[in-house]
Amino acid sequence: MASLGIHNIRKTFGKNVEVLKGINLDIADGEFLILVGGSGCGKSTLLNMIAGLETVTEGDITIGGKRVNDLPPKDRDIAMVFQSYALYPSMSVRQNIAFGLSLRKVPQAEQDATIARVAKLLQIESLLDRKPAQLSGGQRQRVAMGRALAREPQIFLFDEPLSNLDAKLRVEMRSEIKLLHKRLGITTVYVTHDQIEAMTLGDKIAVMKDGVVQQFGAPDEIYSKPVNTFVASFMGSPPMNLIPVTLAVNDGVLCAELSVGNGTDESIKRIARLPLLGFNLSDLETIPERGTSVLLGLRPEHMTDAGRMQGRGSRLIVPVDLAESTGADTLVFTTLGGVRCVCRLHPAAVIGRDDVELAVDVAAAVLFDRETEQAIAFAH
Amino acid sequence: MNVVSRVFLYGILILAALYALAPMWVMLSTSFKTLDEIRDGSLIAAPHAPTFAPWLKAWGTACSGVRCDGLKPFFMNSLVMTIPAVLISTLVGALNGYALTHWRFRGSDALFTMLLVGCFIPFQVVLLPMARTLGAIGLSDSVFGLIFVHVVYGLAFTTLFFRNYYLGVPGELIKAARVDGAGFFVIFRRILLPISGPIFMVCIIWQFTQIWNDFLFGVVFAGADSQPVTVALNNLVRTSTGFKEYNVDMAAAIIAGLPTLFVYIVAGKYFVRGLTAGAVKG
Repeated sequence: MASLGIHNIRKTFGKNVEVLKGINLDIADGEFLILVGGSGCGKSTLLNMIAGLETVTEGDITIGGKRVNDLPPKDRDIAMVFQSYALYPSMSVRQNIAFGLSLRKVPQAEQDATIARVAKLLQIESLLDRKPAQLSGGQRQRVAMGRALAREPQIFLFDEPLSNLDAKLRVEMRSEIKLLHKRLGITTVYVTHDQIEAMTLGDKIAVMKDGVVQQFGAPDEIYSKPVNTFVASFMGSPPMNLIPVTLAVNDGVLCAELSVGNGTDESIKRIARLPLLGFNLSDLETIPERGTSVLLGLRPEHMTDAGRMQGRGSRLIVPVDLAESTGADTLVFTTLGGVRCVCRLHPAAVIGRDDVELAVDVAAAVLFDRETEQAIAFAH
Repeated sequence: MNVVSRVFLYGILILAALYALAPMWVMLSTSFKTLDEIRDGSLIAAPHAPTFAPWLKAWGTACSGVRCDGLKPFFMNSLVMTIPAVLISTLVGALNGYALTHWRFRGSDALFTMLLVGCFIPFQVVLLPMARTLGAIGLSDSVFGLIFVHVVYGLAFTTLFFRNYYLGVPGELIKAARVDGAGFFVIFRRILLPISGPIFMVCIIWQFTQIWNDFLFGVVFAGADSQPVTVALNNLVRTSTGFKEYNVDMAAAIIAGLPTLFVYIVAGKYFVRGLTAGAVKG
């Protein structure tokens, strides 16, 4: 097992297509790193570079403190699980698992022991003599993980391993990967575009966009203190609400003024004022003048019914544009500051209502600059 | 109405089949007739007293040019030329296709385009340059020269076949093998070859037919002792002493065509399957 260092990594294809623009990430031995982002953000390229399947244009990759830029994949002591599983179609499950071992001239007895151990760990003992074509998607996934595990690598690399599975199996395998990591403690890098996988699996998350790491930190930090609007809206389902508000100072307290209601219907549109408790004026680099327009970031669960907030939070009565029941919660869609917002309420608080009273937990809010889209203040 | 159209349909199909098979039948029946019978009887009639003599003569004693030992030595020439040429061009084509799809390098697309152009170059165009090349490397008038020519000319096709087949092999399969510690040739041998059966059949049939049936390269580049069977057949048919021996000519023509017929009968179904099948999905 080993730590992983990624320092000033750049990758250009051809002359001027820059896919990675200076990536810096460090994870300690045994940590689980998630690379998350939309299509084309460079996350898979970065993973392939860690694996040695893509060359490094600039910068250093270290495994266990040793620079590995110029080592071929087989000498990096890594194992990788692919999205398509990439099982060798002509080989049985047993041969698939043994392939890497036999290429490394591991004695036969040791190979057999490893296969037995891995098969037991992943409960694929009964499948050992089958060909990949005779396996279901979930079984192939297990075999692919078994093949990676057999080598006891320094670092595990996963390239969107669950995206070809159906929803139920995906959740199952997700927990299984988490359990395996807990049990074996092998340093892991995991690429996904699914923010739920990112939140549930990672010790550290790197949110990427356009070849740049937007934010690197622990899941709860990424979730509650997003550094910009991209991270805020990429992580979380439904995403963080970004409400255009006007800042004002009222009796020394920072307040946000926002319009409530559908912008097209002037009769029910009105202006509400939310005191931004928890924000100190001194947090802001420049004290906003009356009329500064910013984005107020609020997670749906921080705009809920009074019951859930047990009386805390600022009250706000909003019209219900649409209510979607998810069972445990009802998602209420409303219009604040002229944009569609989602609030997460207890079902009983919504039934049969055209208006609901929200308790807004402003202490969990984030303020973003409208121009730069960067976070300008977090509550204390 | 239904019956009428059905009869009509089958009538047309049977007619077409008869039309296609008629030459084959004339060849077969003529080859088993004696010369007297050919002179007297009709073209279509079955032989009255079938005889193997024309076949034996065509195989062993018929004269082509000044030699009078039948097609046999030339048939062997063809085998000695075709089998290595087919195997080498297919194997190298497989390696090319593999490298061009899964080990892309700077200029690999340009290289492939150039190879593709090779598919469209007519035989006649390469005759002179190839003759000079063969002379320069000391392979003129030999079976090795012919093998060389056929391998070079066939590479464009075999590379194209294998490249298109290997495009269907997911790149992750190759990446997985590299991470597992396999190199270029190990991946080719252990991962790709085992799933290449269908395209190998296509390539082998295609190349075998092309090379066995080739006349032009054979007549131009072969020495007197290395002439393939197609050239010998031509000589045999054109060498006549007195009366033209149609029965021997027909038998010789069938003998010359038998191997390709055999390959199609044995492996024809793989040909269609291989052309239509995608590669195995991981």
